[in-house]
Amino acid sequence: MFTVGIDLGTTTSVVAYIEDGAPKIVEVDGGKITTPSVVSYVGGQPIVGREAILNGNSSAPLFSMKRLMGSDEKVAGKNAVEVSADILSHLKRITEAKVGKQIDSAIITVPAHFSDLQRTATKQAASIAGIKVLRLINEPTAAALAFGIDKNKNGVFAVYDFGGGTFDFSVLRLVDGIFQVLATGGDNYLGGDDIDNKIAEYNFQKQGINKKELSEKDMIAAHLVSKLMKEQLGESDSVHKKYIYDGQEFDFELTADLLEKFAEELIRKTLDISTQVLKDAKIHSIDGVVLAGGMTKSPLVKRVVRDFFKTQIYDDLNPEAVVAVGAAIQADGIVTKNKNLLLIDVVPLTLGIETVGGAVDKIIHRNTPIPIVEKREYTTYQDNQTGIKFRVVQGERALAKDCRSLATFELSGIPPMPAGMPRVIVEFGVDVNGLLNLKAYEKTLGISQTITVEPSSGLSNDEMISILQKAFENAEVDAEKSKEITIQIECERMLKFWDSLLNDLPEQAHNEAEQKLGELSNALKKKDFTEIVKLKTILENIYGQYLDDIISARLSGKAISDIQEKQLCK
Amino acid sequence: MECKESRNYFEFFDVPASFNVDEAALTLAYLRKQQQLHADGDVDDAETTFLNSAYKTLSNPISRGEYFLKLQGIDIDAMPTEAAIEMFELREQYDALQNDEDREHFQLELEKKNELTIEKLKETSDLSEFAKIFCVLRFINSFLEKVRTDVYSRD
Repeated sequence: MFTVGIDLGTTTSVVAYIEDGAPKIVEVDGGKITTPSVVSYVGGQPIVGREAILNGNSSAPLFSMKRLMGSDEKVAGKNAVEVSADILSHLKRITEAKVGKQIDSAIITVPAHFSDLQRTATKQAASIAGIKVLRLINEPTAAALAFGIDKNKNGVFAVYDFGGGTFDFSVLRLVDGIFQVLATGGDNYLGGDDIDNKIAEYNFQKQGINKKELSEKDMIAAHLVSKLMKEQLGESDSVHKKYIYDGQEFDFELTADLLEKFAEELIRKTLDISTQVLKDAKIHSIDGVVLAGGMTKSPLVKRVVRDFFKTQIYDDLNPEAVVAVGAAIQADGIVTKNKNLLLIDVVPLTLGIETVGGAVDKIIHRNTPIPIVEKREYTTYQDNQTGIKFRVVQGERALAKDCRSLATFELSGIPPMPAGMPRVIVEFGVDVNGLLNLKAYEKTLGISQTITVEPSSGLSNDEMISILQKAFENAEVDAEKSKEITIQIECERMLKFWDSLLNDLPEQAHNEAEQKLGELSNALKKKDFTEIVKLKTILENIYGQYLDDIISARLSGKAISDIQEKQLCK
Repeated sequence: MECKESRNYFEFFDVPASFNVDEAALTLAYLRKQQQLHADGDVDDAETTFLNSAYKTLSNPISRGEYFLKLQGIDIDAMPTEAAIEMFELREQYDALQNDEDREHFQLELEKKNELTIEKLKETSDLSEFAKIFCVLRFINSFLEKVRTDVYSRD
C-alpha cells in the first residue's frame, strides 16, 4: 500500500509520504519541495506548476483557484474543482514517477474552517484526478501532528498557520500520541497573497503605471516580482527589482517599513482570530506555538507572533512542508493501523437550521468533537401542513442570511394533522472528514428522507460522471501496470519533451543534457531501471536549474538570451 | 442504538454522578476511552459518536445540568420570581446599550455572572434548590449566547 499526504495549498502544493518510518517530501523541478498551484492550458491540455507560469504559448495561468473552492465562479471557463483536479493529477503523476509506485490512497489537507461545500468540492477534485481519499484533515491539525511526532512533547500547543491564501489557528492538547483539537478558527480570505497585491499596488502608483492598461500576464508578473521581494526582504532593509512592462523598465521597491505597513492590518486580524480561539478553547496558557504556512517564513510575522503569545515559538520544521508531512504521518497511521497515534478533530463552524423569522437554530456548535450526531425536533405551524422546508446554514452569525447556506430540503408526505402534532426529527451528522450528513423523519409515522449535501453551486452528479469518464479515457497508465512501465512511459514522455526543449538551453546545459538523453534512450532499450532512474534525476536537475534561471530572469526583467550569453562566457 | 443511548454517561466515564464533576478527570477518562476504541482496531463510528456525545454532554455545564436533572427525574420548573425580575432587568439594560464597547463590557460582566452561578450550583446539594438555580443558569446562558453572537457579528 502506497499512501501519501497532499497539502493542496492556495499558492503552492506539497506531497509527502512515509518511508521506513521517516517522512519524505517529493521533490519537484530539481530539488524543490513545492509545486506552485498554478495551471495554464495549451489547446485544452493543462500545464501545472512552474511551467504554467513560464509557457509562452499557453492561456494566462490560473492562480489561487482554491479561494473559489465550493463556488461556481469560473475563471477562463474553469471552476476551482476542475483546476484543483488538474493540479492533483499532476502531483499524482510526478509522485508516482519519482517514487516508482502507484498511489493507492491519500490524505488531502484543507483549511480547518473550510465549509462543508469546500470540503466536498475538494473530494470531488480528488476523485476526478483518480485519487482515493483516505480522509480529509485540517491543515493546522496536520501541522500539529508533524510537530508532535517530531518533538515527542505533551502539553497544550497552538498552531499558527498563515499561508498564501488562508489563515488558520488551532489549539490542541497533546497527550501520549493523542492529538485533541480543543478549538479552531480562521479566515479563508486572509493570506500572503493580499500583501503581494498591496506591494504591487504601491509600486504601480509610485511608477505611474495605469493598472487598467495591464494585461493579465503583466499583472501576474507584477505579483510575482512583489512576492519575491517580500520573501527576500528578510535579509536586508530594502529590496529593488526590475519590472518590465510595455518594453519599459520600472524600478520596483520594498522596504521593511513598507512591508510592516502593508502586513500590519492582516497580522492584526490573525491575532484577533487567535485570541478568539484561545477563549473558545477555555485554556489559560499554552506551552508553545507551532508555525506553519509560507507567510511564517517572514521575520516580521515571526517577531509579532513571538511578542504576542509570549511563549516558545517552534519554527524549525519547514513551514512549507509541515502540513504535508503531518498528512503523510496520519495517512501512514491509518494504513498501518498504528494504535499509538490518535487524532480527535472538531467541527470548525456552527451548523444550524434557519427558523421562521430568519434566525438560526444552532444544532452542532463549533469545536464539537467529530464524529458527532445531533437531533432536533420540529413541527408544523399550520393545520394540515403536509411538508416542512428546511434550510441548513453554517456560520457563527445570528441571522441565517449572514451565514453560508449549505442545502435546502423538504420533508413531504406528512398526513394532514392539526398544527403542532407531527414530530419531525432532523438529524445532523458530521463524519471524521468534517462532512455533513442530514436525515429527517416524522417520528409517529416513520416517513423519512436522507439528504446528501452537495455543493449547490458546484458540480452536479452528471457533470461529475462525465468528467470522471473523460479522466478514465485519457488515463495513459493502467493501474495494473507495474512500476517499470510507469517509469518507462514517464521517460518516453520526457525524451519527447526534451527534444523540443534542447535548443532553448544554454550551451553547457544543452551538451550535458544531450549526452544524458542519449544514455537514457540506451538504458530504456536495455530496460536498465537503476540507470534510468539515475539519469532521470540528473535530467530533472538540469531542467530545474533552467527553470530557476528563467524565472529569475523574468523577475529581474532580463531577457533569456542575456543569461545564455552570461553562461557562455563562464 | 436505543440500548447504547440509555447508557448512563457518568457511569460510562466512571465519574461520580454529580454536577460538580472533576473536569480534568472527565477529560482524562474521555481520552482513555478514545484510545481504547482506537486500539480495538477498526474504529466503529457509531461508538465514537456515542463517546463524543457523552463527553460533550458532560463537559458543558448546561447540558450536564440538564442531563443530571433528567437522571434524578426532576422537571425543570419556571424561574423563581425574584430571579426572573433580575434577568428581565438585565435584558432591558442590554437592549438599551448603544455601542459595541458597552456591549463587550456587558458580555464580560455576564460571563462572570455565568461562572459564579456555575460555582454556586456546584456547591448546592439540595435538589430542589439546585433546580431553581439551574433555571437561572440556563437563562443567563442563552442570553449570553445571544450577546456573544451580537459581539461576534459586529463589523
